[in-house]
Amino acid sequence: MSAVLPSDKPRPRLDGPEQPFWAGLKDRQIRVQRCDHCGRHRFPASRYCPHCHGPHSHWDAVGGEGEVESFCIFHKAYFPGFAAETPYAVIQVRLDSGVRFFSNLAGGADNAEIQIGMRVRAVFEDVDDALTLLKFRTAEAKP
Amino acid sequence: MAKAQAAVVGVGTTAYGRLPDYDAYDLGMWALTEALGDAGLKFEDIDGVIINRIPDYQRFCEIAGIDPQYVTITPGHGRFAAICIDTAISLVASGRCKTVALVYGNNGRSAGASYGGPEDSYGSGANGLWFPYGMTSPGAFHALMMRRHMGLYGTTPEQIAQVSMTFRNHAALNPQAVMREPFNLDTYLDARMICDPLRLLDYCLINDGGVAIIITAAERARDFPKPPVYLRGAALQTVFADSMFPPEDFWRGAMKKVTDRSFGDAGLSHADMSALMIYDNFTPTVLFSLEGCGYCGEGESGPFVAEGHLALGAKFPTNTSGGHLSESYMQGWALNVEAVRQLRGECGERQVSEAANVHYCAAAPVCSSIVYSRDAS
Ligand SMILES: [Zn+2]
Repeated sequence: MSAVLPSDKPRPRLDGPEQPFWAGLKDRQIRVQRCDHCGRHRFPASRYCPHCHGPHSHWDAVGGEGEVESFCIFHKAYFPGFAAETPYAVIQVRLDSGVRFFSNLAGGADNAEIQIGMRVRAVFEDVDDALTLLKFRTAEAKP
Repeated sequence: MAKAQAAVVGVGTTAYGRLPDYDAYDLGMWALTEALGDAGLKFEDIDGVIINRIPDYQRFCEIAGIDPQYVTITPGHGRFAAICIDTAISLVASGRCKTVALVYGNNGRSAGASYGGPEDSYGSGANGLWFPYGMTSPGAFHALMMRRHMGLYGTTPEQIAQVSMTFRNHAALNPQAVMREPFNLDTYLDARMICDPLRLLDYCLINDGGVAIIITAAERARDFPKPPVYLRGAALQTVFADSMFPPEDFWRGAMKKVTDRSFGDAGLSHADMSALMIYDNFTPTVLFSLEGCGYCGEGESGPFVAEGHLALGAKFPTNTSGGHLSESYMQGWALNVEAVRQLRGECGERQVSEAANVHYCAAAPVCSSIVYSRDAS
């Protein structure tokens, strides 16, 4: 059996409908779709707005601060690329703009630190030249 | 209160477990043959077929040698058991069909079905987007919900354990169950974590098996060998908006709607239920269902289950077959059959005495509730 490298982690489809999102992360921005008709943000991508059904939208940068809504800790590695990191935490984050993501705390964070309701701020983690992931680190409580 | 329009007149199940010599078609045929025998019907009596999980409806009917007037096929998601039953009620109540066969075949264990990793398409199907973060599996989705429930209401692992332990105790009385060895709290807590806060014993059991149910109009239901079991109420409510992420209300709003509608049609209330069949893909789903259906208050399901209400002999004996956690993960179908068998008095050692009404429910992006009764009204 060959060694499992971190690069064996699954990769997203970078040239799919979310291409502007992935390109945005390279530029240190979180770009999500914004409806030209009703102004709401949405992610993942869809041609039509789920709220007003309008067909026109553009990709708009949103702020990187939000809150951990929940988290879980994987002890089982469903993907070989994650085996070396178990137990690893997945966090469910709601940005202040209302857009939600599943993600991880950026490198070195202790699973025991994670709490529901904790404030977090976006971190742009470069995997390689083509891929940057949106991760988070703990942030100061909202003033 | 309206009189029931439809009834179950036949049920059939295969053995559950590892059945590598049977594919999904074989398992469906086995179950359908049992159900027709149970109803005293022949294959040619079927004029409506609803297939679930078996790959192809045409091939299945070709193998069964039948040409029903009506046929449809539905995806192998557990929420579809109730959707199929609800549709069968409409077909017989409207007079469009006389005898509808619902056929489910699942060779997931032998086929190596996996609910996490590259093949995962739980929810709205865009999970591939989250794979780079290691997020995958319906189990993890429910772990996120459970963690939030624990944070909001103080629900504990010891309380969650009661669900799993109780269903295993029931399975010990069910010869058909795959896992029949009772376990204690220490065993539950020591079981390996899969996705914290969920442990191995919080997960359903993937197995091979098949289930079939025969539904006809209520006015015809007395002409069959077994006592009819009436479908007194059935309701569905979808929760699809933003459903890539866990619902903030733990599906309570939708579960309340389907319970209110189905209980209203049945003219029955919680206290009338002799037993509950709660879709238990994972233990938290049972907690969310109890709250949504109103068997306990919001956030109170932990203490409620710890008080022992779900055990045989208690107030609301639940998943008397062992359910998905201990009998086998037959995606809701076997729980509906257990409801029928309880009302017929066929459950042997696990029989609920004088069972009159049984409530099936499932909390998921399609919430459902079905009321089964011994009496038509
Ligand atoms: Zn819009």
